Amino acid sequence: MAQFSLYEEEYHPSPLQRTWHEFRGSHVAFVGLIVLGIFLFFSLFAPLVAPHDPIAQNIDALLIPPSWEVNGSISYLFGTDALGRDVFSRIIYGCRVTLGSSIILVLLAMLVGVTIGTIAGMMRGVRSSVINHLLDALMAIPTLLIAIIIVAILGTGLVNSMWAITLALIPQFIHHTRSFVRAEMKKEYILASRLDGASNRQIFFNSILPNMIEMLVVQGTLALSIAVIDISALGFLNLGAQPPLPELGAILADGLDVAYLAPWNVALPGLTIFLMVLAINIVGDGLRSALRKRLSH
Amino acid sequence: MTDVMQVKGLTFRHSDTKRWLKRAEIFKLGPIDMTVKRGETIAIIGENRAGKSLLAKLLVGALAADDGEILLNNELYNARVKTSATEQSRTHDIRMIFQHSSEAMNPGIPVGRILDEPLRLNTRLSETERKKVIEETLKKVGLLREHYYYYRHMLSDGQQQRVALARSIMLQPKVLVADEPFAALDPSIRSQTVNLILKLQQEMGLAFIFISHNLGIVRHIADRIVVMENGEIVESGKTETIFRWPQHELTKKLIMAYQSLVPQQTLR
Repeated sequence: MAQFSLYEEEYHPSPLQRTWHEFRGSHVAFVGLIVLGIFLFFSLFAPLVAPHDPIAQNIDALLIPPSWEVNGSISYLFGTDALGRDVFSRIIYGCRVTLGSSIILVLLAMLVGVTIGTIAGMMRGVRSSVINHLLDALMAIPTLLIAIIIVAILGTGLVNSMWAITLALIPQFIHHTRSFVRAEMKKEYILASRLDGASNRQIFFNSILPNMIEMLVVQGTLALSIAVIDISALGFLNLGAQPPLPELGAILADGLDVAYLAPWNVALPGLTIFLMVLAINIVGDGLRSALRKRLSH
Repeated sequence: MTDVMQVKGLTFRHSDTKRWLKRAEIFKLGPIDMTVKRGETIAIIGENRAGKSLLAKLLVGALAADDGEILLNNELYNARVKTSATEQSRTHDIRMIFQHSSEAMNPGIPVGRILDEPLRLNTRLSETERKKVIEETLKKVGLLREHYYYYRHMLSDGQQQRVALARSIMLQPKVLVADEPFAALDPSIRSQTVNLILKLQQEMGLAFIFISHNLGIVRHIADRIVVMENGEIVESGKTETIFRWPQHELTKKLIMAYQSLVPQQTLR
């Protein structure tokens, strides 16, 4: 029994605030977050930020160099391409298409993968193994090949390539979730909640999920960077997003035709993809260590 | 004193027939008969692999037994059935403290939510009422209200033990089963915990069944002792009787080993 009647501490940081506090400690991760935040802002508010229509062609302004060049113009910040479209606006809309579709497909893959993995992890014996290895065949085939098959059946398009990448990402989520849930189910605190009368569903949401977030963040950011690269690769190969749609890979492929004449048409979209993947990985790494530190000190 | 719990013919066997993709293992527990009176403290002692922890798990219903009956608070439970959400009164009346309290605490959620779980699942209290009960229980086991917001890594071993204790008394049980609750604690925290449990036992009329290798504590707090070997009870009786006139070979061995540490007493 406490001998003193002490005032109760009024401020109790929530788990989220703790994670944020730890995350802020790492400067590199914070810079990565700012960069990623800019990309997210672009993709959310593309119509407000973009100075020009990304598809509108302007014959009076073909291949204008970026504004920092001698004969560049400030009204076209990153210059224009061979059809007179503003590269800056196209990149902003490109962030929207590439990053947005990647986030959607990763969330979808995560939802499906975690659900199947949890079911497999809670079951025992042969049934669990069957569910676990249900989609393993997909891991043997590279994403691009699955995409080509799907595209061959359904035709080219951004949505079809999204399906292909989602399918390719699901098995990893299943495996990681299943092994995590299995390891967790053996622990004593699960037995303790079971003795409290918790059902499997309650055990999952109340006891396992709070511990699984770290794993989900790691796998999610990994999957997100893979998705961004794959979406742009498919766009670049003309299998994903089709040319009028501003997608970073497709913009890169468009610019390749005039690469010697106007190198900014290749360099700037390429740089954007690079920065995007880098920022995602840095933020994921920082988030993981922040989540781990939250539970260690 | 009335009987709060009666155990009749509790038996557990590992599947001795070889099944597909499963190794055969032969270990048999029981049949075990015992009675527990209100407010009584029973110590289970014995060597490793004698089935003590298994017995504890069978009593609380964490594992399903193969045969036997448990009469708890005048309600009959078939020991063959594992505790499920429908069997709530059993959850109410008998609670368990695990061997390693740190492993029995979820690292991802704060103490408040850990303690909230038994209440949320077994009572109809509203959220504010539950919080009040949790805060009272935290104070009862010698923690502060603030510990509601603490995570596992912020608590010391002794505090974790107290949280485990708080969790087990949260539903006002009749019987508390503890699997080596004092093993991991240093002597001063250990005696604090022992005194705390004794105090709670007096206040709440708890029957307390515990497994221990520490015969000093056993002699100090237990009313009765049960000695187990190879899944069977080989001797049971009043603490002083067992300590002074042990009958079975194993009991003699255990007592001798203890007495040799306490030189001023001799075996009669």
